[in-house]
Amino acid sequence: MENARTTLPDKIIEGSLAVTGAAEAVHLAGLFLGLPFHVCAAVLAALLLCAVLCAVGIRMLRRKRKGPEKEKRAPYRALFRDHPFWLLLLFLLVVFQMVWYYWAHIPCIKNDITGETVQTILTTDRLYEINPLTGRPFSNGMPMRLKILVLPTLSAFLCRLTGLPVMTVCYSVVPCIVMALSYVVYLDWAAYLFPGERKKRFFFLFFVILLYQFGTYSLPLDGYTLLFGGYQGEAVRTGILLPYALLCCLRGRKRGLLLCLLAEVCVVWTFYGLGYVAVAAVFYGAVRLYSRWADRRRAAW
Amino acid sequence: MVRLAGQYLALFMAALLFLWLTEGQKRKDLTRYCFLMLFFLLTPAGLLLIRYQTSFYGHENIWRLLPLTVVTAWGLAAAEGKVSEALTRPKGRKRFGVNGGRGLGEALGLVILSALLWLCGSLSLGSVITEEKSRMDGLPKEAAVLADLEIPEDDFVYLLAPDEVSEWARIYSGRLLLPYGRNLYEPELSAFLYDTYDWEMESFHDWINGIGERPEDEEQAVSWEADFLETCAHAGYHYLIFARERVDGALKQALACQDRYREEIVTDQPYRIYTLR
Repeated sequence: MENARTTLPDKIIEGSLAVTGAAEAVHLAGLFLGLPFHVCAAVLAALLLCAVLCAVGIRMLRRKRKGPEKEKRAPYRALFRDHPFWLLLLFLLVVFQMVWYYWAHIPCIKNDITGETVQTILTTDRLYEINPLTGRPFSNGMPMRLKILVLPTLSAFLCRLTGLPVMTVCYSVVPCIVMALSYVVYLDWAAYLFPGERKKRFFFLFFVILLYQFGTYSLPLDGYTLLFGGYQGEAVRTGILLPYALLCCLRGRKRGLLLCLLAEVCVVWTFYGLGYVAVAAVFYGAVRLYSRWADRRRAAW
Repeated sequence: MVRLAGQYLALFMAALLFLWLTEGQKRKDLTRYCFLMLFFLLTPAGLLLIRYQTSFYGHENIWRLLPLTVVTAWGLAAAEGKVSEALTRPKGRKRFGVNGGRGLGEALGLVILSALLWLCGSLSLGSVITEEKSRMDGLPKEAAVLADLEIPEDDFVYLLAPDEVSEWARIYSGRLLLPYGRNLYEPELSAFLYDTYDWEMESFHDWINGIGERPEDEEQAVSWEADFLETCAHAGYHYLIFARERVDGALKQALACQDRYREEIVTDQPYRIYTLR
């Protein structure tokens, strides 16, 4: 089970998904108990602080237990030391994408109300009690399937934490985080597809960046979703959850897959919790069943 | 230059074929997964997937299930090795290639494959559906007029403005209230909210945007514009923003005759701002 070993990208992605889960729990509490947003933000900040302290504590304990020779294992550091040119090139390309699309351009806000929702949460200090599009009380309300989504609350939390304006957080900071996490997922894919071939991993990541960059001509392409609507739940699903869930399936990482399934429910509308990640998992399950059957048949021959 | 269609699906197919032919035990499941997903997406069986999502998402959306980026990038990374090998001249042999060693061969291979990706994708490096930021506050050029409004920090003010301005108003400041939301003129947004608007709001929308029918008679037109201005003042709409060309004959006369709104002096803006006295 070499592939199921937890790597640094795994930790980053699963940690981010766990943060989303914690935010969702606080968001739901605020929504159903009618808590003011500043209370929710304080609780979430406390939870995150506890999580960071726990992670640091566990790491220190492990270091003590494993001894100094285990600490020297740092494959990514070696990767960066051996290929500084490639590292610089990929870094510059990613920075270019982030600056060009998220800081120099305004995103498309058609069919989306994230910006208004975040601004309304911050102004009224309440979750979904005011119509975000008008700023007046609801006359007929809002569907619960959208109220349970956590991204606006998470963006509002970031605004409160950093003091940055809503437009900067929603349309620049959040897309940068989503894109960075997406590339972390593909870093993991590179390690899976090209074990022991460091340069090939860089090539793989280089082509992923170019696929995003030039793949903006059609809606279902990852580049289109990430570069033009990186602040939406759809971008989280396309850029992070779906590729990571498939990788978890291939590597037999059940925890990662479960986190992706749950995170999808938190960030984008799903059919009673059964979203695209569930479809991908079912399809992969069918493939595994077929593979086992084929292997058994081959063995019988 | 922006093309409306690219060829990434064809590249994906080629990469999948390459993956299938060169697959190791490890990649077998990925290949099978891709073939199964392709079968569902390319055949009417894909309708089952759309039904599964209660038709909330269209057929285009479910193509996101295909791991196009992973497989295509893998195919290109694997092909890079072959291309650079073909371009590099081995020591002591006469063969078409470059003398710069493996490094130059790799670089050439990357350039060739990047050019292929570029030609198969969107030929624009820049934006396709986004627009350039004109200001540091992140507002688009059309909505930059919002930055000129004096918005109280502890109170709410109503704004009535053309669509291109009002769609950014609630994002720009939560202290700006709108009589109607974007869902009045963007029907797709009705999936987000159950709130609807009466005919009066629709008439306000048409009036501020200068669309819809207006009385042809000059005198009636002035009276019609004056009625709207009076209703706005009565409703407490603090800011009225008109496109410069909207302030034409009848509205200009009506604005000149009333004393409820005063014009704010804003230069270099394609809009005129009127504030409730």
